[in-house]
Amino acid sequence: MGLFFHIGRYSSFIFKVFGKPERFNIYFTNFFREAWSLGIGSLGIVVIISFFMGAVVTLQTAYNFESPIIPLYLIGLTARDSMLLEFSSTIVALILAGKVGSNIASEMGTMRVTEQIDALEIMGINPAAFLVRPKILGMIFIVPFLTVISMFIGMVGGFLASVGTGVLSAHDYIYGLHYAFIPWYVFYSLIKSVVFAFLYTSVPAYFGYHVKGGALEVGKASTRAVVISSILILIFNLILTQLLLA
Amino acid sequence: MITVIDLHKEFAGRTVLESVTVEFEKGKTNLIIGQSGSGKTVLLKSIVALHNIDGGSVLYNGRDFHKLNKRKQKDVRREMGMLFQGSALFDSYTVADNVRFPLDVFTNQSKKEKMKRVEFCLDRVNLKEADHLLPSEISGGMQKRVAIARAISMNPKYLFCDEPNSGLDPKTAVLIDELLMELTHEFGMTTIVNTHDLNSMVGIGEKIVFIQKGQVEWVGSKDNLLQTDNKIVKDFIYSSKILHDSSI
Repeated sequence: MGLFFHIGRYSSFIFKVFGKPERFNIYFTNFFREAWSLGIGSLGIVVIISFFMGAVVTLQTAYNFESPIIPLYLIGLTARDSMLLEFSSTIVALILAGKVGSNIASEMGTMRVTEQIDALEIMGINPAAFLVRPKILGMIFIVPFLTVISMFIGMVGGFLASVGTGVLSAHDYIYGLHYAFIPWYVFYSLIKSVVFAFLYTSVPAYFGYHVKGGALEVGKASTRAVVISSILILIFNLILTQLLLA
Repeated sequence: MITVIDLHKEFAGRTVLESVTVEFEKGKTNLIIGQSGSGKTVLLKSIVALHNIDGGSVLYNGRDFHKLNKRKQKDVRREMGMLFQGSALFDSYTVADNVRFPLDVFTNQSKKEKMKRVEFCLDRVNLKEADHLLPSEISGGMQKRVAIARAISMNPKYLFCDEPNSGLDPKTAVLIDELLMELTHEFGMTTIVNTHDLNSMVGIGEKIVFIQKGQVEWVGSKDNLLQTDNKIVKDFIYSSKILHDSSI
């Protein structure tokens, strides 16, 4: 099916997702449950990848800064800006597109093929709003916290790698972290992470929600959801960077 | 009462239902029967508006469901209960939570009132002791009974069942059939059961609609099903080896 078909159906799906809710208190309960299970459930992977990314970026930068005229504290600055500008938002989003995205697509797909979505519809409930909205809003709510944690852990990883391997001193690294700090970079990263969270929750939900068939199709929808979400994250990364940093 | 008038449905240019006109009576178990691929599931899904129709009307006590606005459709939906082929229970909810779910969404009942209703519904399907279990922890037959309890929790006027006996052993299938018939009479519901189970036809078919190639071929009841002169219906019924042998 064509690109325009999917754009049209995705738009109408999002319109349904944000339709009038049946009952607010149930949405609130589901919102917190989803924020917890999707967001807090992803904390472990975010911490692990951030730590190692911070460490690797620091070491790679150190090995490339061989000129004696480049001060060593710039390694700390480079590690910090790499985490703030790109890794904590974009790379974490790509990882979460795999984890959270496939989870949402397969959950929605399974609910579709086992007629659970039909059961909600028969009851007069808007299934898209009931099932998908708490996931999107829950992730959007929790992702700024994950991003800030990722930034912090990444810098800790860089610190331990640089001090542990002796490529630069703790003082130089910390001085570099403070040097020429631009607070806007943090907001830029948070804005990106929220937009990406919308993409890697809504796109997989769309693919899962419209599954037709059985287990094979659920698997295919899950894979397609992750691929399309990842591509969209990269495209929006480019657009947002041009809009917010240019 | 549900009245279907001149219903027409196509999929990708292929006619699946053609000029289907039939009445499903209140307080009775109405069966839709027919071979696989005859259009009975499409008919049931058209009646409950799980998909759009290409012509005709479906009247719920005179209300043309497909022509109602969204809000009024929702009002009618709250009078419906449905038992799906695979039960369609919510995996992450316990048995009691599944039954309570429609009450949570649509009523302003207190927690105590809801609990009382859940207990009543589970008791009615003999599953009171399983209220704390997850759907994955109970058998297929029990899942069907939970789905029935959920379907009746809102006191529906209309109950729809899509192949309620599929995947069940004959004894459990009979239990489910008897339960559906009892509940239909007890609550005065208009019940429509989509099946090709012969035991159901002769057991609970108070009104039977035979669908063949998307059209109504025969309408009758369990009392005259086995005596019908309709060749297509006879071929279908007596394709069962047991019946075939006993009729010789």
